[in-house]
Amino acid sequence: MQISLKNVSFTYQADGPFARQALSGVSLEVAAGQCQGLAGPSGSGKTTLLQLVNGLLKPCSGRVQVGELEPAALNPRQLAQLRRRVGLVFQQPERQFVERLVGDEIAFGLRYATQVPPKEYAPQVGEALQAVGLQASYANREISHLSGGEKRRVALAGILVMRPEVLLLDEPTAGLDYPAIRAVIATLQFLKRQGTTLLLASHDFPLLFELCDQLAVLKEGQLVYHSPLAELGQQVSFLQEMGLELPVPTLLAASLAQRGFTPGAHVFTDPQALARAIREQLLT
Amino acid sequence: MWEKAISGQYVPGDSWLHRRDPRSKLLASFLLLAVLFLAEVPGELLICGAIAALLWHLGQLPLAHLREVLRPFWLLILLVAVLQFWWGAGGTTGPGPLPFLGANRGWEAALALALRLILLIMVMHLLVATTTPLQLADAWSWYLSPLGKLGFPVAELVVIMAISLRFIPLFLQESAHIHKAQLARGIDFREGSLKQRLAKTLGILVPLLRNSLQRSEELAEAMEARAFQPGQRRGRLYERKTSAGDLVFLLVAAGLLALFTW
Repeated sequence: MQISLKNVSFTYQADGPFARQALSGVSLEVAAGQCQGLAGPSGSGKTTLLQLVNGLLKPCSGRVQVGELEPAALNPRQLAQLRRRVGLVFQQPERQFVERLVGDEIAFGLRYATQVPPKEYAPQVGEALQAVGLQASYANREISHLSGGEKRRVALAGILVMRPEVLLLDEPTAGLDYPAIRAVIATLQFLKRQGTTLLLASHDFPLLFELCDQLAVLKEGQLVYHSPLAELGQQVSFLQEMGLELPVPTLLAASLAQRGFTPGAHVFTDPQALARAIREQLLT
Repeated sequence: MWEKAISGQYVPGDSWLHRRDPRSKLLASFLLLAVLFLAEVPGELLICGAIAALLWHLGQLPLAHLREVLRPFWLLILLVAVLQFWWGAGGTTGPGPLPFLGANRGWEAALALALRLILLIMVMHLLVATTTPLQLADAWSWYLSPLGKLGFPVAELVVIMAISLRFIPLFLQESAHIHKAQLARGIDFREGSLKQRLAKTLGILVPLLRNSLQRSEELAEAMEARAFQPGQRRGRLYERKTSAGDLVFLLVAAGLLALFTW
């Protein structure tokens, strides 16, 4: 399913004293099966954009389309059906757990939002757990006994069990330690290979660089940058001007490239990978 | 952030009303509430309406905000007015001004009651929209301070009040967030049997309750970490200041009350 935003604007509390424009004239196309990264400072409109795609918010002007459907034009029943195909993982989704056991929590959506027969719950929960890198035996564990990273993956499994064609993720690695971040990245890479369209809002550049095909940058509600990730190296100083803190290896590689020394074609986030590329370049 | 404004939300600003001493605002608001209850004839209610409109202007709140503030109350106002029209006082004291209303003057009483409720909401909203929860709690503590001498735990009560006021918007925000998260999972709250709908509603209530308990525990720990001790005398960051404007505000409110009582 492709995603398309055409000249979309959104203002919170449009006619009140707290009116705040969150998005202004944003146009963005994400092809089916692609991973689109969304970066930008806090309050730049990333979360608003995700909620517009999921139909939780209606644009004040402009048009949002997911596949052939326009969320703003759907009735509540059609919207619920669309949302089963377009999963949205909120920031800190573990704060929204309803059930005590992992299996019941993952099956919550299946039970109340689909027509899946109950005997199908267990195998589908098992599949979802596998997709997030957890063993099927986790289904019987108490959620309160899990670590922060495991909880985040259980929340992700609760969305994946609906088998969404599009997955919108809001800061999926925020507040997680390194092993948990790696586990979330592995899950998202698996989904990307499966052909799920991903729209990923994050401050975490290593995560964005590792997963995304395209990167868009929002600033004060406006799309200030949108380009394939491979071309990012040439735009480093512009992105820094936009207030983004890029990883040191990325900056170093860009700086070397400016001086005519190009260590490789891709964007570096890992210092060791950059060191290896420099060594190879020097040897050749 | 909410998509819509909510009643009782503090609106930051530096209007004439914002600058008033919270103690005078609190007292004047209660005097105006009493005035509203005493106003009976349409003329008196219109005076109250004019005062409320003037205060709305002095609070520099946009008119569109009033619609948002009244939005959750329309059904209640309509219901109360209809009940008043059919069963309340008003009687058949004479022909109404419009032919379709017939001889029954109940519509007048219903209209007056609806207007009274709207003005009541306006006055209460003006108080909380132009006074921070902390200022409001401070004003209460000043009025309740004589009770402290009798051993009444005023300080604790005021802290509880301030925290509760601060938590109302947070609580609403949290419930809206959880509701959205469940909608995003494809849950349709209008679909299914009554039992299923109840189970879906639990999907909001359970995390809301758990998060609220967790938040209150975190707050208690944070307060203890900052050496908060119940019953200990507390200082204030800002000095209370009463100006001529406060006096005028109080005099107008008290004058109206005297006028309507008389």
